[in-house]
Amino acid sequence: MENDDLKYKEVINSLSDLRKIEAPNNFEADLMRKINNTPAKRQKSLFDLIFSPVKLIPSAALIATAVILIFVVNNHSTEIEDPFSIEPRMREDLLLSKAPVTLSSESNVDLKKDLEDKSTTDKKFLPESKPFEKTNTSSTSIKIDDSKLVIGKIEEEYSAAKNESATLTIPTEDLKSSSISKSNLNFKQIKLTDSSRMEVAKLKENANKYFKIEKKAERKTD
Amino acid sequence: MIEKPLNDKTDEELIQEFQSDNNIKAFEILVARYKNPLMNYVFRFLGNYESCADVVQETMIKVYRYKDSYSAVAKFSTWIYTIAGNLARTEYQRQRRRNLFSINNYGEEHENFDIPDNSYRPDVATDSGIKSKIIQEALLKISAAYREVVILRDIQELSYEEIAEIKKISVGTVKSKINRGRAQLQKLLKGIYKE
Repeated sequence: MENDDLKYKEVINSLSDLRKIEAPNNFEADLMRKINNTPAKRQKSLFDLIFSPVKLIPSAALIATAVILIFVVNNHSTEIEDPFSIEPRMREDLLLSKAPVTLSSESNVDLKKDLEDKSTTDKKFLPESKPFEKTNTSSTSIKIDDSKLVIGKIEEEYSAAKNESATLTIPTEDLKSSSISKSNLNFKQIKLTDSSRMEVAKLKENANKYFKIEKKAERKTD
Repeated sequence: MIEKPLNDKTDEELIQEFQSDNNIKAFEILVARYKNPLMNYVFRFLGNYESCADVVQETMIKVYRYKDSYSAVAKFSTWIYTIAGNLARTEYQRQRRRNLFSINNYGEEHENFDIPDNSYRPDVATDSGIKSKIIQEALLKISAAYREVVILRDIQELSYEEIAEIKKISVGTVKSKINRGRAQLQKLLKGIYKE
């Protein structure tokens, strides 16, 4: 190290010979004035460190970006429509027969009941103007305005069957093609009132009596 | 037991007194002891008297405010030189940025000017006042990392160990940095030494 000192002797001497710089005369006074004027910095608490605006801004920006992204991505998903604003779907695959439906046999009792219920409920709840038309005849035959479905003479045939004790026949092909099950119906389901339920129950009893009488008559003829 | 007068106490005893009793007199003695050495150190580093006085005052304010962060393990001189050195470096970088910006504003964009420097010509360096000015300018031309250790060693006359502690580097690194700084200075001051 002494070799180095000798090597740079001139530089070292020049530097050590430099004039010493002294502080200004009013150094202490200025210093004490500065100390008294500048308030001491408050020690930051842990809460301040975590929730300082400087640290909150990036996290808030990140959350906002994430929310925007979620909305943008969700726009491509399936939209949920208001079920009340959806128009009823047309079932073009069903109800093709124009011929009046004739009911027959015991096996079709349910179908008859369904039709009867339907006719009574339709009478009660459907408006008389469009899309349905009401005929002037004693029987009620309901037509849908596009004429794809014609259910005619239901009550007439049913009463005739009741009176004449005649057998009702529905061609099985027609029945297959034109039958409407409850599950396939796309209409508004109406809950029956207590009085209408009583009526339905009475009708069921009558129908059962009718079929018992009919069976007895058949046995006698045999 | 008779207590020593404050003026006779060591730096470490004074700062401890200031820490425990908040004795302003002890702080004032420390200021009186260190204001000139720190002014010399910071001036040689920055080359500007006004900003040098501001840096030293800022150093003293930091000592006053953060007196409790000093621990008796280290020497007081090491602690105060570290604070002053950090503040001086910050000020130097700020000045350099400002100078760079003002020079760039003179001409076209991205165009720098080479300012002619005649100060090292032997015919110009005649008397001692000019000589010290030339040495100061040469000091400012060497790398800041070398300049700092050269000033601490050759102007402030601190030991290698103290410099190593202030700069938080090994003694070997201090020595090599000092030698590189001296070599650069010698190269810059070649004209003066030929005379």
